[in-house]
This record gives sequence, C-alpha cells and structure tokens, in this order.
Amino acid sequence: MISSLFSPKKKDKALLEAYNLAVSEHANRVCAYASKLVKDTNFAKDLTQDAYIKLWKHRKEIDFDKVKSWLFTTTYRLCIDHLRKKSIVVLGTENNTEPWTTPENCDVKEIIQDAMERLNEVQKSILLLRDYEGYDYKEIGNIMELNESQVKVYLFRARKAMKTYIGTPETIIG
Amino acid sequence: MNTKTEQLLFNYLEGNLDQHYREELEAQLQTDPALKAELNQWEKTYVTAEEIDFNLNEKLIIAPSFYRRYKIIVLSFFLITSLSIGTYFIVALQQIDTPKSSVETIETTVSKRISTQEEVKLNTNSAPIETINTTNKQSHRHTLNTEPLIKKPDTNKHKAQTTLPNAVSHNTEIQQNKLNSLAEKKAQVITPDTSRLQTNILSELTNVTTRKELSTKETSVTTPETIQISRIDSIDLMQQTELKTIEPKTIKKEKKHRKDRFENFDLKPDKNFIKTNDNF
Repeated sequence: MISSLFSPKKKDKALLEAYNLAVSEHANRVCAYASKLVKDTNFAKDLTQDAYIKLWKHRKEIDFDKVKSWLFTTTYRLCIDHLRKKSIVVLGTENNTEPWTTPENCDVKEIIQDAMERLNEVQKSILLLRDYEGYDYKEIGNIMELNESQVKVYLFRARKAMKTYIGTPETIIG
Repeated sequence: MNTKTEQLLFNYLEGNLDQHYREELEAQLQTDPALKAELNQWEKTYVTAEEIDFNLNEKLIIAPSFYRRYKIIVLSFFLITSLSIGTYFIVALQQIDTPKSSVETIETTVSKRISTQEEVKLNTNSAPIETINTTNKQSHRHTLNTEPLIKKPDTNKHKAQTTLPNAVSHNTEIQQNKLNSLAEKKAQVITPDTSRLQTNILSELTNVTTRKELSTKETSVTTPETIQISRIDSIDLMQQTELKTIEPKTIKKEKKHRKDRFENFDLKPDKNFIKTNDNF
C-alpha cells in the first residue's frame, strides 16, 4: 500500500508513453484522413483531438498494438457524425453526374483531389485507408465494420469513378 | 472496356492476381496498347499521401504532471503539514483542559486538608474530657448553623440538649422575632441599590459565621453564656451591615431602637420561664 503510494505506477507510465507514441506517429496521418473526409483542416484538427481524447479516456481498455486502426475507426465515426449533422451531401460514383468544371490549366493532382472529393464518404474512406495508410481489406473492414468483399467492391467502384472523372478532361484537353 | 478487363486491371494493380494470371496479363499489355492506356488511367486513381504537419503533437502529447514527477515530495509535504496541524490542535486542546483539572485538584486537596485539620482539632479538643466534648459539639452546631436565626428551633432538639438551659432557647426566640421585625422594616426603606448591598450583607454575614466557626473551633470549651455572646455579636454585625443600606434618618431611629433593645435585653434566664419549664 505504502510502496504503491510512493512509487509511480508502472502501468500508468507505460500507458502514458504509449499514448504519446501514438500521438507522435499517427496524429498527422489521422488529421490528414479527417481533413480529406470533412474538407476542412481546422475541423479535422478538432476531430483528431477528439479522437485522441477518447483514446486517453479509454487508454486502459485499448490494445495499443492496434491503436492506429482504433484511431482511424474513431476518426471515421466522428467524421461521419459530423457530416450527417451538417448534412453535407457527398456525391458517389452513382451520383457523379456533375459536369466537368475544372479550369483548362488545372494540375492532375488537383483533378485527382477533386475526383476523390466527389466520392461518397465510405468510398473515400476506403480509398484513403488503402492508399494513404496501406491497410489491407481486412483491416479496412475492421475499421469501417465491413467484410473484405464489401471493401473490395467499394474500392473498385471508387477507383472506377475516379478513372472516369479523370479520363474525361484529358480527352477534352488532349 | 468491359467490366471483366476492368476487374482484371484493378486486381492487377491491387496485387490480388495470382502469379499465373499476372504473367499472362503482362504479356498481353506488351502487345495491346489500348489495354496499356487503360491501365495508365487506372494507375492515376491511386492517390499518394501528402506530408502535412498539422502541429498536433504539442497539443496532444501529455507531459508527466508535477504531481507525477514529484509525487514523493508532494505527499511528504502534505503528510508533514497535516501532522503539524494535528499536533498543534492536540496541544491546544491539552492546554485548554489542564487549567480545569488543576483547579479541580487544588479544590480537592484543599478540601482534604481542611477536613484533616478539622478532624485533628476536634480530636485534640475532645481528648481531655468527654463531657465537655458533647456540649462542645452541641454548641458547635448552634454557632455553625445560621438556620436558627431565621427558623424556629426544633423542640425535639431542645429536649435532647440537656446541657443547654431552656432559657437560652427562649432568648433566641425573642431575638429571632425582633430580627424578623427589623428585616420587615428595612425591606420598606431599602434604597435602589439593594441588590448589590444585599450581596454585601450576605458576604459579610458569611464571613462572620466563618470567623465564628473558627473561633468556636479554637476554643475548646464553650458554655451557654459564650454561645449567647457570640450570637449577640453576630446579630450586631448583621445589623451593622444591614444599616449600611438604610438612609441616614432611619439609621438614627435604628440606633435609638438598638439602645432600647439592649437595655431591655436580659441575658439572665427568666425565673418564671424556668418554673414553667420545670412543670413540664
């Protein structure tokens, strides 16, 4: 009892260190993922902070070996909640019927970003997790509560939509 | 392009194809330029992460707190302060308690000493003659008790006290009656500062009685005559003290009354009264 009072708890210290490591390794990536989903950097920062607050609150229950996926899952949920509250309509491949509005001298990178932003949140999230973070289908399925085949289908549709979106101006410019 | 070739290209880029299908597709891509263009378009859908620093590390990293760093120092400081406060209160309480206890002990010791002294004196006085001792005790009662001055004496006691003559009791009755009448008169003439003066009177009376007690204790032998004298003295003292409260005009009247009273006051026992008592 007395020894526990005078000696710092090793578990708490380890948890603090693990939390700080999670911040230093994943905070920027999580924020980038959030900013792509919500299209607002400042709000993405807030959402990332919320995710880390949740992490600190549940630090004793979380397995820090899988903290990255936990962070992305939490951030994805927070982003979805935010988007639903704001009722921001993100166009998916099915609804991607808007005419091409990019300027003639636009960069390919910007076109890709624009194309990605036109995806719905599930497709965009899968695409980001796949391309930005390098997660496999199973991990993406765990984060987004989907099975592997569903992830694969969503990813194929997302890429096809982007391909069609990118291919159209090139033919116009070209 | 049909969906099959799209799926094939997608799976090729995703790395989902087996080695056999992969080799086959790579061979076809070298021969078919349209398929290669299609593959280039699929490759463009792959986005690369932008390395943006959002400066979140400063906000999110939790540094070990002051309490965590200096846990032992903080705990020891609180322990020392709490202990010091506790000891201070204990000492303060003890200091408050000690005067009471000391007073109590002093009172008990003084009372014990007085009782022992009284016992010793009584023993020394009672040692020579037993007969005197009995009379001494009875006289002692008379002098100590102030009750007979106010109340009527008990008849049974008088019967039991064979050593005292009946005349003394008769005289005391007369004295009491006179005192009562005086007290009634004074009560009518008392000034506004009666309460304070009454307290003075009482205090002086108590002093007188205590002095008398001591004198009676010191005197080994007391006779009925000495009892009478002491009683008269006490009455005089009472009157003197009481007269302080009365106005000057009334004091003169009182002095006259006193003179008359003392002239008429007979210390000798009444012969007729003795006769009547003898008949009983």
